[in-house]
Amino acid sequence: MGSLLAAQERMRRGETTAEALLEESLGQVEAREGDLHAFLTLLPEDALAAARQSDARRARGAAMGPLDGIPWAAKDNLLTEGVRTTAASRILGDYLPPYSATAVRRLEAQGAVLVGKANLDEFAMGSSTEYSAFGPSRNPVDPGRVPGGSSGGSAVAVAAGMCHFALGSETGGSVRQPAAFCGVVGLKPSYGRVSRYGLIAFASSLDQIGTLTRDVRDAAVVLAGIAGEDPFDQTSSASPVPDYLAAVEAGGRGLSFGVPPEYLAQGVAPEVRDEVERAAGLLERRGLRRREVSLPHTSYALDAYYIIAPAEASSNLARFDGMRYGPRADGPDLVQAYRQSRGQGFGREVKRRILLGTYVLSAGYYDAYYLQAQRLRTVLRDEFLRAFAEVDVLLTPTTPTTAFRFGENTADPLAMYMADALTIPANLAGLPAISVPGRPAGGLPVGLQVMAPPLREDVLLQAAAELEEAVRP
Amino acid sequence: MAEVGLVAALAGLARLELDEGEAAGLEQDLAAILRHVDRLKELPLGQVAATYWTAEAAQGMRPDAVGPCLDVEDGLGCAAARSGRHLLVPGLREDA
Repeated sequence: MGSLLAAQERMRRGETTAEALLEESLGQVEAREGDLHAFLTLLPEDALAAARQSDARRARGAAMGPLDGIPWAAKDNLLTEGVRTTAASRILGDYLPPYSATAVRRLEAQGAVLVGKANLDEFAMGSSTEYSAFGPSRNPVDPGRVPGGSSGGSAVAVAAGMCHFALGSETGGSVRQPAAFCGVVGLKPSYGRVSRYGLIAFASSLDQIGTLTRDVRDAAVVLAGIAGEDPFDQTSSASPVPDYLAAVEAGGRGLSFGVPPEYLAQGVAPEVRDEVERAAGLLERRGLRRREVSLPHTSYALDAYYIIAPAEASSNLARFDGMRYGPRADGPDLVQAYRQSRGQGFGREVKRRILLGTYVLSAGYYDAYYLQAQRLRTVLRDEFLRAFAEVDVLLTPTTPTTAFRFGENTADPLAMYMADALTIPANLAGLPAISVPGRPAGGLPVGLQVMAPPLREDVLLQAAAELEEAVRP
Repeated sequence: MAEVGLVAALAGLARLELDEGEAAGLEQDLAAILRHVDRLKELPLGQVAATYWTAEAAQGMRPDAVGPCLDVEDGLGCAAARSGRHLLVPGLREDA
């Protein structure tokens, strides 16, 4: 399966149809879903109807744009009206949303064909999909290894050719990390660039919807399709959405970049570090200028994240109490019914984070933990802005290692959390960031991360396209 | 730092029922995580302003506009239990 732009061009030339693209996607699902478990819900009939409508539009010369007729997948924490949306949790096992997320509605309005809802770690809390209540997804490159998470199902669906693109969500790296592990492109836009309306909230000051695609140009197209102000999300940015694809086509050879040494420090595997240095050299050979930059507080970002995100999660998940959604456990009174419903409905990782969040927000600990973490956030953001006064973008590894084996980190939550150590800073600072596949190491994909200033996705995509071209074998 | 019995107290605040084995495991996890994040306290950040949101241009309040309301049947469609057009919930504790 090629890129979505190539598929669109084939449709324009009459060489294929939306229905044929869908058959190709569903053929891959049939062949590989049993092994990979990318999806929690499949929608073959709805998708076929949407594909036929797209073909009818094209036949009468009314095709709607680059996404019309293109098969895609939505992470199952994005609300889809009338279609089961679980967040991979037992507590939402049968939830049928009464409305769709803005990003979903925008894609539907542009004719994109939704194939199904993709697996994830429960409530997007995890880095491997091992915390899905419905079983993990598997990495298409090596099914003995995790695909990353939490948007693991979305990454698997794209990497295995089950759809041309997917939406995921990020709180601390949940699009870029699985993209790196599965060898696809994962883009996290700036905070506010894409509406969060209809995204099941995990940590509201960090959450952002992102894209998983086969290449950078496709990322530009999908981002343009979902970005922009939304009256239903107060934090969505009112700044105009640039023509991202035109920015990519303009090229990024005049850009400058830095490789902060803190991102190559202890814990980063030698083969990952080597690939970043190799990529930096290739960018220089293409005419991009390298300058020294430093982000000294990077190593504290993980600590701040594991205070802020659980704090917000403990508040956001209070609504799941067995009254308004999902199954209700019996209890002699209201409080016991809450406790039993939540105790039975949530998995261990979600409970761990709710307890941690409750702790750091509790009387006597708020200043020491939560306030201190939010202050560090200011420091991290200021460091990034100083670095961006020197360079246009930053180049780093996406993850410290390549994909790990199932069970390798589940017994040690801190080890699991380390998988997001290099992606979290961009979430805390609200920056756009992207993971582009580099040269594999030991047969496993390696992700190269590019970060740019807030709302400069145009520059980010330009640099990412140069990087993609530079590292291509 | 996690004290003995802390998880039980937090579970009460968070309205989470935990079995004994689960509580013991979570107590260990919580202690390990808090040991790790405790190093944040060493940073001299007392004079630094906190950043709670990174949105460049929050829209503020949107103008009031009358729009279609969510259908009651849709709204109640996923309720755990209902009575007619209302959510049905267990009774409150008499001693609460």
